[in-house]
Amino acid sequence: MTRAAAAGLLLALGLLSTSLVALRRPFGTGDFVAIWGLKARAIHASGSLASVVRVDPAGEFSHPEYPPLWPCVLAGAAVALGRFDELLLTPLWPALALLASLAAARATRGGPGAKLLAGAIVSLLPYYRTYPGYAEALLVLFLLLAVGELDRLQTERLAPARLAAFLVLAAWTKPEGALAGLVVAALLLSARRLRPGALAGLCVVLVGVLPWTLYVRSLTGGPLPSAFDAGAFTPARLGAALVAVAAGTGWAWAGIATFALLLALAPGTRRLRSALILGVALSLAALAAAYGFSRFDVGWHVRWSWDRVLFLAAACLAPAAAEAAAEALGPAAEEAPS
Amino acid sequence: MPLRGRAASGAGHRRVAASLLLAAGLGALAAQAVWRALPLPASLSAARRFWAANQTTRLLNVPFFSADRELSAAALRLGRTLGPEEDVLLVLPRGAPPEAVEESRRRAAYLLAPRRVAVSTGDVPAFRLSPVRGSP
Repeated sequence: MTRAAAAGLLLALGLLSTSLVALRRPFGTGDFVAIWGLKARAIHASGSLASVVRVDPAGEFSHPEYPPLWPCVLAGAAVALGRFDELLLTPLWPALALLASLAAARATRGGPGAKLLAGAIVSLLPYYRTYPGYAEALLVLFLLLAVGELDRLQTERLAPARLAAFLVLAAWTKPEGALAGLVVAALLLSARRLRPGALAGLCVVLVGVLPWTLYVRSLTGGPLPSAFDAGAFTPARLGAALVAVAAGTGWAWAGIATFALLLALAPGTRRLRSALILGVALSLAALAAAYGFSRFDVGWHVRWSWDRVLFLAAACLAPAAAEAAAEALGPAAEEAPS
Repeated sequence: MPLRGRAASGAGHRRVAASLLLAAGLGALAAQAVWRALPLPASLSAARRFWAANQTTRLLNVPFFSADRELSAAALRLGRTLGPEEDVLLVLPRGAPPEAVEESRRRAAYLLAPRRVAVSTGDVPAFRLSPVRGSP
């Protein structure tokens, strides 16, 4: 069996398993009920974005301050289907997994074996079988599309605009998307890629973050309580957060070690992907440090969110992992020049 | 060992190490992907039951809602008779644990969206759901 065929089989396994888990029952777990589905039902029933604040005006459980793109996608799909039915919406889940796998393949340098391997890694990540209906599946699609543009910035005229657009969409999906956009912009600016860096940074702030923030404020008359509060920070809390993050990383440490060892065997990938790896590491560090500002119990907050942060990081690094594997394995028989 | 032989041997070791790492990493990912879909007959049977059911039954059999089927059914019934602009008051028994109150609030808020569900406690046996007079 060729490497490409083996990777293709793994990709198919990931998508099949995701489909089976998602389609066997309606969306209806934790944050889908409390946040994403609730808002989608509210938008669908009222036809108004303002309804995401009405269902929880004090911001006690549904994070009205979160951007509304995923609820809008769910509500739009329900409109197309003729009714809001949580089971009929479940095919969106494997569709998002497939699109993210294709985006990972597009972002990967090399032959079909490496591209399929990147797609397979993404589709096999546990998130797709743990959190059906959550927003990270849409977020990771935009982040992987943005990763795919990084290589094209110097060769394709429209790549900077596409990069900015994907980062804006990521910021419209979840706050972590805005953070990723700002990290990408900062890294581009520090590498003296001034035009794409400034375009991405300005678009993320002016189009991705400000409009929704101002809209929600206009509805509530002031800022809503978010999960984080500057007043909650203490060094001891930050220490507790970092301990909780280290413990909460759990089995993912094995994945991190595997990735690090693969990179050690692939100096070319290490060099070419250093900016991507640095960007992901900076985002992870910022998000880990943010738990020091959590207004909830830190252990509880980390327990219910850190694995999804790790999913975003793992998916964004999948192209680099696949490239490192291809480099370390050397040219496959089917790809070697005859 | 001649230089070319040493380089070939290094590449060989690197290939073996990479193969082992990939096999371990992908094997672990693939194993959890299979395990999460198992047992297959139970997964297929659950899927068949949900896809054959009507919309209301489907929702009431989602574990989060079936954990308090009475409240979920009452919220769905009230949602059918109430205009979308009317808000709702959910009264729960005095002394109900905060986690149970929060879960009930989330259940009712989801099923009654886009209405606002306010929560209070009082002398009720299990719960009471009623429109809020004068809303919005």
